[in-house]
Amino acid sequence: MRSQRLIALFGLGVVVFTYPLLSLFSSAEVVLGLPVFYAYLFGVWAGLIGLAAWVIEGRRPRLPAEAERAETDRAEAGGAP
Amino acid sequence: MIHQGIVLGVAFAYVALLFAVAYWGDRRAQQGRSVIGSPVVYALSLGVYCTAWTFYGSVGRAATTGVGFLPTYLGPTLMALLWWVLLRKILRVAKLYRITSIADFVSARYGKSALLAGVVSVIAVVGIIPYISLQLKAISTSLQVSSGAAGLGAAAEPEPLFLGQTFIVALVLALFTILFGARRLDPTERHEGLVAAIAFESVVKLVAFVAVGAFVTFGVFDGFGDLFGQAAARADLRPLLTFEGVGDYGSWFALTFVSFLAILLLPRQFHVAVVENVDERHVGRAVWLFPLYLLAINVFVLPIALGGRLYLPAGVDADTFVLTLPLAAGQEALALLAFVGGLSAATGMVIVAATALSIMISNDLVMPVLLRLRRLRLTERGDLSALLLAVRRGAIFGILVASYFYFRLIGSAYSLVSIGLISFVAVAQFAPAFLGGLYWKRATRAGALAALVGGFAVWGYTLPLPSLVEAGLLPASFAEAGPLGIALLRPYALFGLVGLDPITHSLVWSALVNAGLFVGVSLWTRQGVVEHGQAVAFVDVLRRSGESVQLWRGRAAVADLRAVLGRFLGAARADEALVAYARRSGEALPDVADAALVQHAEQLLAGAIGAASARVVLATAVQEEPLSLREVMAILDETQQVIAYSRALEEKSRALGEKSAELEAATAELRAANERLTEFDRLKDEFVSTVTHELRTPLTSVRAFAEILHDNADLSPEQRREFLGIVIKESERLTRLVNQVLDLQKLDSGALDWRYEAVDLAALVAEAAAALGQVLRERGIALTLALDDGAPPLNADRDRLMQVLVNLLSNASKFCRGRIAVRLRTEAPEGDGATPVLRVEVSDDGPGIAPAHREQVFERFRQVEPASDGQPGGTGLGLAIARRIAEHHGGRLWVADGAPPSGSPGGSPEPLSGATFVVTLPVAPAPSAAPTR
Repeated sequence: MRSQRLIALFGLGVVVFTYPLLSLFSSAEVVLGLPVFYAYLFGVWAGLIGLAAWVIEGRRPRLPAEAERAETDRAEAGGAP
Repeated sequence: MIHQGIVLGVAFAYVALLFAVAYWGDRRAQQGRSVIGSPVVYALSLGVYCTAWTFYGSVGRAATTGVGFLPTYLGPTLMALLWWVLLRKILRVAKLYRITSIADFVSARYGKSALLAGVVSVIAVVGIIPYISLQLKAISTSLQVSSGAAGLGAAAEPEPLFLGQTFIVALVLALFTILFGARRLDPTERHEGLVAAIAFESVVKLVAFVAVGAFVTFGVFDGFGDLFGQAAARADLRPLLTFEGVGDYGSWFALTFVSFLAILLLPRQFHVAVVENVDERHVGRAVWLFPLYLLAINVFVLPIALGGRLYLPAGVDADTFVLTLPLAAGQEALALLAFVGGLSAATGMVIVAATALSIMISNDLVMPVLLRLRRLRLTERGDLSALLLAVRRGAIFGILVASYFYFRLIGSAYSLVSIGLISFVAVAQFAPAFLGGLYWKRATRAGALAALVGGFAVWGYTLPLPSLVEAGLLPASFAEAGPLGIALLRPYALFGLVGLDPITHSLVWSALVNAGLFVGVSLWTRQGVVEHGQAVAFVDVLRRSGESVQLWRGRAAVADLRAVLGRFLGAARADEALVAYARRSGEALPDVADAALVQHAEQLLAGAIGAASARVVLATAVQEEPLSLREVMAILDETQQVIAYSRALEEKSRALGEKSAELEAATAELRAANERLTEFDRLKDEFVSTVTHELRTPLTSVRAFAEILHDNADLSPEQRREFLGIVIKESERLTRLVNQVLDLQKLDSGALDWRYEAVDLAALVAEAAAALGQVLRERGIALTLALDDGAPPLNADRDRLMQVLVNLLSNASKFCRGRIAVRLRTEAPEGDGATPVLRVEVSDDGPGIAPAHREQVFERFRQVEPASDGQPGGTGLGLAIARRIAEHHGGRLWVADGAPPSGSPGGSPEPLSGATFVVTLPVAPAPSAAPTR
């Protein structure tokens, strides 16, 4: 499940950092003392990182090494490549 | 301006500090309390991605393009999100095959190809030398700027080619790299001290950069608002706040994409992320911690750039803003900190990159060639670990010298970022072969080779080659009008593709050629045996959870293996490894190694000298029997074979079950037959005992009387005559008995000779009566004959019939009181197809036979009652024989009831009141007159 969510975040990142949305926010208007473009870029970047951290660390109990590895393996085998 | 002595002193002090950290890391590792067991350290070590390019070059780029520096860090962020899937898969494979470099990885995937390893190594070295040279440039520039030798705006004064400042920097860096990364050989290529030092310096450069950034934003200006506001006010700076500064969406995307690949494929990144990784779970933390690091170190890039543009006079090299701003603001301590940060970033990159490249050069380039050169006969040399280390150190030295010369050649003409991006596009050439090999089993070695060579060639033609124009080594017309004036081959506008910046242009063409050749050639070529096995192992590694396919068959003496391992790992380590293996497998080390042990040895060797060389070396030590593709498929499909085998076993056992059922039936039959035989045997025994008894009786009489006659000489002649008479009679009786037994036996076995002829039964009866006439007259028995006329002749054995009649008459004479009546009649045929039946009745007026005994009289040796006149009885066989004779002729013999039916036409006389024996004989005996019991 984690890998699928992360891949989805990847897709989101690609969309957010390329042409269409990028040009949408490309303006020197100021918000909170920061130019919109600058704020957009760093804000979205921080947001992506935060989401990734949440997916990875999550509220799951810590598993021992082998069990965790086996569990993610089962997820891989059944889920995304 | 800081005094140069102070600057140099601080520089050395810092490097010494780095050293101390590395030493401490190694010591802790030896003690077993590894410092790099923490995922945070792992994530920080990945920060080696941020080099002098990040520290100085980003600001330089931002000063002209605004956020144009950012794609270099957005790309890695996106890749980090995929790390959870991709990097863990790579780590699994790397652990499995003891991968020590990216060249190792690619070569292992495509069948441990030494050629491929060599090609990747060459591309890596050629591609990274510019990158290392930019670090040299940065260090030397920062030295000059810090100590004021360059002046704030002036270009650096020309140095001598040798023993100039930068040259010394390069040599010193080479020395440090050797001390950090090539002190000794480790089969796992782990350098815990190095990783600790890199993680430390990531922290140092982050702290330094943020400090300068904070100072510029809040010290020089009044916060972000003030800074950006002032920038927005200036017409030449306003575009930097939007995408306008970047200008080109295509190149933005290209830069993002190429950085996305670089974070994975740069040799130094591969080294810290894969080779130095100790725990797969660390990847999780790195997925978000590393992008966070990137974000943190980049927040102040634009502010510093704008601040520099705003604060400093025009003409100052923007690449140096990080230093010159604090200096201009009088903050010398901060400037020194910035200098240390920049130095840290540069040295970190050089040390790791040079180490990674030297591993590649020694394992994948030099050693395979040296091993193959039979002239050197290296495989027979004793200890090769010293040679290996020497090659490594030589490689490090050579790389740095080459980087220095590249710097001298090109460095001054290009900005830091431009030089760096050239390297990025170079390592991007690994992407199809690397990533394709991980997910596409069909990718072949030929495809990977074609892709790498093609991509590298295009890259070389479109990026480093035309840069020689700037250096003055090639005429300007080469870039502008194309070689020999061919416009289509212009290096910056191949085939007429204009409008792209050089980086994007090169990326587009090299990607096309690379990916196209990879897919095309892979689909048109076939994989070898080992290659296919490796392909499956790589692509399916997450599913197979760590087993490696054993595709080796042959014989190897463990002593040979020990010798080979000792040569490259040292004798002590080799023994250690073999003992550990034996302990793990739970048995003592055999004399002859099995496939698993050989594979283990190969992996250990691969850790030291690379997979391709390991294979070569091992091949000389062991006798390998090459596997055919069919055998490999058989090995890989072992499970299916086992299934088929067990199915065959099931079939066999089922067939066996059927057979055993048949066997049981046969056994039952045999048992029944055996019982019957036993019964017959018993009957036979009974018969023999009875016969012998019967024989004994008359024999005893004969003997007795003979003895009397013999012993008593004074017997009267009358007595003598009497006794002799008895002897004669008994002898006759004996003879009769024996004859009858013989007859009976012949009758039973069908060996009797029957002689058939036409018989007049009436005449026969009269004849029998005549034969017994004397006896009858002596006994005073009256015989009455009532014989029908017109009885048809009988087809029978005359003598036997006579025997029957005589027997009947004789019996009657013994048991009657004085009268015997014989009657002969012809009876009409009964049933269909039957013939007339002749019926003979012999009756007497004796006591008769009780109904219960009527059948018993026909049994052998049966005599119902003693004879009425005291004469010795018959043999008991007569009636049995008579019945058999009658039955043989298709007739019957029995004892009739007391009152036989009367009323026969012709008024025949009534039978007498005693026993009545009836014989019926058909005129023509039935076809099958087989004797019956």
